[in-house]
Order: sequence, then structure tokens, then C-alpha cells
Amino acid sequence: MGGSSKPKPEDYAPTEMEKFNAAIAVDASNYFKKLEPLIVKDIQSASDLKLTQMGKGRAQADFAQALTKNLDMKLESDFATTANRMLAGVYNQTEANLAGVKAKNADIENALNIGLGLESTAASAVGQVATGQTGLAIKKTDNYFADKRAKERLVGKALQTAATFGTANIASHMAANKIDPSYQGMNPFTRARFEVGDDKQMSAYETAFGPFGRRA
Amino acid sequence: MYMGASWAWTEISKTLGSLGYGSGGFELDFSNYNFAGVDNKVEQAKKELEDSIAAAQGSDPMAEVQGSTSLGVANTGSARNPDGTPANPGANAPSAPPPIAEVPIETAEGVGTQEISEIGDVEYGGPQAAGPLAEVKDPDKAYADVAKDRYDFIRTTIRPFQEGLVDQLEDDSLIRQAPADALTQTRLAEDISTRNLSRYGVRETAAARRQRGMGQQFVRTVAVTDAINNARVGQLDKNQALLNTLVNAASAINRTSMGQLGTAAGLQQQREAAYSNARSAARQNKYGIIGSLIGSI
Repeated sequence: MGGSSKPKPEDYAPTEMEKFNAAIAVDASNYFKKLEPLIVKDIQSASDLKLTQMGKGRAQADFAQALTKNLDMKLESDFATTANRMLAGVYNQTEANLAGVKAKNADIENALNIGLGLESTAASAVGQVATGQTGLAIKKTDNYFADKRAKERLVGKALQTAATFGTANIASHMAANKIDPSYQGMNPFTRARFEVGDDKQMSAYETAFGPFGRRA
Repeated sequence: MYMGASWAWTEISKTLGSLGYGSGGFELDFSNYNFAGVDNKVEQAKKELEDSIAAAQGSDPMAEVQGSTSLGVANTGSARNPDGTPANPGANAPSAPPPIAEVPIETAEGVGTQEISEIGDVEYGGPQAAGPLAEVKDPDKAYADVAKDRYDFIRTTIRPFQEGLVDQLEDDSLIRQAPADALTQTRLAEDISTRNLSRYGVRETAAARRQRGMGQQFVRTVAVTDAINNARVGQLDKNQALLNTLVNAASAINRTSMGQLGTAAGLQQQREAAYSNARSAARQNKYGIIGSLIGSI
């Protein structure tokens, strides 16, 4: 800083902590990129995991083990035992199917929530970037036109000054012509001046541009 | 465990003696009887039962269904081979823990043999030196690139998953699976009953077999109907749960998209307002200059 008011880019250089903040953010983002396959794996696992088959296998094994314990001839001779076994076995597998799909649904919901969280974060990030960039673009455009307007005002001021001078010059010529009918000047870039001659008569003469100019 | 029939008769004789029958001239004397035949019959019956169990264990249909030879039938250790030797020697002995497998594990030095000492350990070698952080020249661009990349991930990975789940809403796999499961289970139960009866040496009459067959057919029908009905309810429940999950997900997506649309609309409004302001400022500037020029004449 210092010198004229014209700023240099380095006047707005980031602080050390700002640079560090950006660096760790990008570093963490790169690390997340490495972990991204885990999310894919989680989704694939929620989609493909054969929980139903696993549950059914275990239910079948437990059921069969329970059936082969404590054999009783009287019970075996009774058809109701067979019927109960048939119904219980079917119920067991139906329940295992249901438990499997419920567990799978829970996995799916979990994976879906992860996806939704990512989407929300990504959407928020895109929105922030867009807001920041649009705000900056608007500011830049505003500043660009503000600069142009300032230039136009400068030119306008110059023209205003010139017009002031020109009209004043014309006015002086007109006044000079009234006082001194022999005076013929009517140039907006020159001014009429008056002087009193030796004969005590007022006469006009033309000066270059300003009221204090030399005799043209 | 088995003491023999002659031992039993001797015990009975002792009991009668202690009750007084031995002292009053009433004495039971079994010394001249030969009980060896009874002992042999008991031994033979026991062997037949064990052979039957061994045969049943050797062709367990449940084990075949499960693709395993060990599930479904508890190993009592009493199974015998046809020659009378134990079918599975040492089955009753307390089982020693399995030896620790020597699995080749890839180490930093290469593939070597290493003993597994703990299960579930996380390989963490403590804090490690991290390299310097890369300097970010343009954080705004980096942020924009990362945000776009994340959204690409959503579109390429998450969206297809969500669409796949939508297709699952019409799933009827539980209902389709139910009859097959019911049939398998009823057959298994029938086989188990037949096998268990054969273990006791029960031979049903033709009439009993017929009745049992009819009963099984009836129960099979009931089981299939019950299974399908339960599966329908379960399927409805599962599909409804998935629908709820997806509707919640859709609400979240809607919330996010509304937020984004709000941002987009807000930005457009900002731009239009800025344009309008700039145009107005330009006009004011122009008229100001013209006014000044007129005023200066």
C-alpha cells in the first residue's frame, strides 16, 4: 500500500489463516474423494446383500436343531406333531423372509439418507458458489458502469466548463457589440474585453479564449 | 452305564431279603438261572436303535437342503457303522478349540506367515508425519469445482439407486417366494416325522399311512394359503415402508431443490435489480450531464 489511491492486487492478498483454511478445506475434500467409493460400496451392499437368504438359512438351522432335541415317540406318533411342524416351518421361513426384507429396508434407508445428506450438502455448496459468484459479477458490473459514469461525468464537467466559457464569451461579444457597434467579433472561443481609449471612448477588443487573455 | 439283567435280579433278591422274606425260610435263589440271553437281547435292541440313528444321520434331507452335512441333526455320538464301530469316534469327547490357522498375511515386508492373535483389530500405527498442505491459488474456483463434482456424484451414483428403489415399489418377491418355502418346509416336516418314526421302529398300517397322507395334504394346503396370506401382508408392509422411505427422500429432495430454486430466483432478482439500478444510474448520469450543460448556457 502507499503511493496513489490506485490499489494493487497484493493489497488484497489473503491472510495466512485464510490460505490455511482454503488448503485444509481442499485437502479434506480430496480425502473425502478417496472415501467416496465407500459410499458406493454401502449403496451396492444395501442393494445386493442377500439378507433374506442369510436369515432364512439361520432360521432353518435353528428350527431343525430345535426339532431334533428331546425326541418323544408318543409325540412322533401323533399326526398333530407333523402338522404343527409343517405349519411352524412355513411360518418360520415366512417370518425369516419378512425379517430379511425389513433389515434390508433399514440398510436401504440408511444408504438413502447418506445420499440425501450428500445431495443437500452439494446443493448448498452449489448455491453458495452461485450466490458468491453472482454477487461478485454484479459488483464487478456495477463498478464497471460506475467507472463509466464517472468518466461521462468528467467529460460532462469538461463540456459544462467549456459551455460556461463559450456562453460567457458569446455574452461578452454581444455586450461589446452593443457598446461598440464597430465591434464584429462573435467567437465562442474568444472573449471581448473593453478598454477606454485616449479619447475617453470605450472600445472593445478580442482576447484569446479566456477573460484574462492577451489581445488577439 | 448298562449293568445287565442279572444284576437287576440280584438287587431284587437283596430287597426281598431286607423286607424279611429272606429270614422266614423264604429265600430266592437265582444262582441256577442263566440271564446271558436277556443281556444279549438288550444289547441287540440297543445296537439296532443306534444303527437306525446312524442311518438317519447319514441321509438327512434337511442337511441336503441346507447344503450342509452338520445342520439339522444333533450329533449324539452314538451312531455306529454297520460293523459296530463308532461312526464318529470321539464325537462325545470335549472338543478342543480349533487350532489357530496360519494364514498368509501381506505385511510391509511382503507376503509372509503371521499368526492371528486378535480379531477385529484396527491397523493404526499412531500419529504419522503429514506432508505440507497444497496451496490453493483460487479457493473460489476450487469450491465451484468440488461442488460440481459432488453434484455429479449425486447424479451418477445416488440417483440411479433412488430410481432402482422406485422400481422396487411393485416388488412381489415375498409373495412369489411363499409357496416355494411352504412346499419345502412341509416336505421337510414330513420327512422329519417319517424319519423319527423309523428311529423308533414304528411301522404304520396302510390305513394309518393313508390317513397321514391325507392329513399332510390338508396341512400343506393350509400352510401354503397361510404362507401366501402372511407374505401378502408382509409384502404390503415392506412396500409401504419403502414407499414411506422414498416419500421422505422425495420430500428432502424437494426441500433441497426448493432451496436451490430459491437461490436461483434470488440471484436472478439480484441481477435484474442490479441491471435496473445500473440503467437508472446511467440515465440519471446522462440527464445530469445534459442538465448541467443546459444550466451552464
